[in-house]
Amino acid sequence: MNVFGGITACDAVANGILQAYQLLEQAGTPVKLPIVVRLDGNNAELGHQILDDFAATLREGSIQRVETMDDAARRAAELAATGQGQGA
Amino acid sequence: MAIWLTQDSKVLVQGMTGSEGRKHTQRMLTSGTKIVGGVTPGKGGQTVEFEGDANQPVFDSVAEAVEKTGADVSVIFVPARGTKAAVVEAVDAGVPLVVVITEGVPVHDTAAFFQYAQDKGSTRIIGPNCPGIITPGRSNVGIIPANITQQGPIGLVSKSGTLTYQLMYELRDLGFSTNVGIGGDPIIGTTHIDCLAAYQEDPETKAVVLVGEIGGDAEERAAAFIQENVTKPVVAYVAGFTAPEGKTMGHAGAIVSGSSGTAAAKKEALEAAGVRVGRTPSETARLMREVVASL
Repeated sequence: MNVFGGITACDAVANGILQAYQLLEQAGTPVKLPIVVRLDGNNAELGHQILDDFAATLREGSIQRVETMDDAARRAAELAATGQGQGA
Repeated sequence: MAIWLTQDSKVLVQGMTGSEGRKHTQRMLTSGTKIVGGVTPGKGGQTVEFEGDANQPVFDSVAEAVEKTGADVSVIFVPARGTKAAVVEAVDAGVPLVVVITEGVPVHDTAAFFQYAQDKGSTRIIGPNCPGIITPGRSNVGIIPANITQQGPIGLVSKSGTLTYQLMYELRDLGFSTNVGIGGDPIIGTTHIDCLAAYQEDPETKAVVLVGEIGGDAEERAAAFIQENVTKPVVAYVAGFTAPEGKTMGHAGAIVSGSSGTAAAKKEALEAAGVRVGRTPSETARLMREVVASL
């Protein structure tokens, strides 16, 4: 997920990820694949905080936050190529 | 100087009384834009309150608003079904610059209001389905975040809002004269070529970033224009190298049809015109850094 927070600020995006995770969990179809997230722009620090706090409650590696768009692409490609993206 | 939008531009907001119009009017005011009023038919005489002692009068018609305020820019936050009427009203009132933010405007409506404006010959339209135009530090019309960059020598024209923000941010230390988001609909008012021509004439702009994407032939035509008419350095990025054929990618106009409209063809055309094309937004920013350093 690559977001440059403009009109939709990063805290709204982070909360959206969190809610989607919880909704899918409740629906019995939990997220099994790791998610790589890059958030920059409006309210980026708040978004990072929300995501980091949430990620700490999940299995390690479920949400991987990176700093730049290039890093995000590289990390997602690595996960896909090495099969680490197979999930639980 | 910058292009089309200066600190003296007087801006009307059509649809100011709606929730989006109100929210973004506050943001525009906060970033220094000289807003002079709103237009909502039937709500003339009301006042919309804004922070910073910037309450705004509402008028029933664009003509009345222009007469009372001297506005020379109108930005449209009217829902799609009312957008055509709103643009026609602004054109009839002789507003020189109309920025259409609204998404989901029927293509037929855009064709009609754009042709109407062309026939009248006195209004430039930017959009629809675009983030707007910003001359950093001076005026911001639309929904572009104002605080991610500063004034400087680079001009930018882009089909994509998010890639505009990305490049504004990556090159924030150098800064921008003006950034124009032209929108990704199949029919748009202002094109890459219009922006290139304006940046070429603008003394403040020393180099130009062009952001394109798959679909149509706007980038190929821009390349031909650059070859003939642009002496300032241009750096480009084309989104969608991995896009599958026949699938619309986010914007209605962003679709590869057969062999036409591919990112590779656009990159090739731009490079043939002497434009350096980055493979990623970050590489594009690096190329622009080299260009600015060598000026």
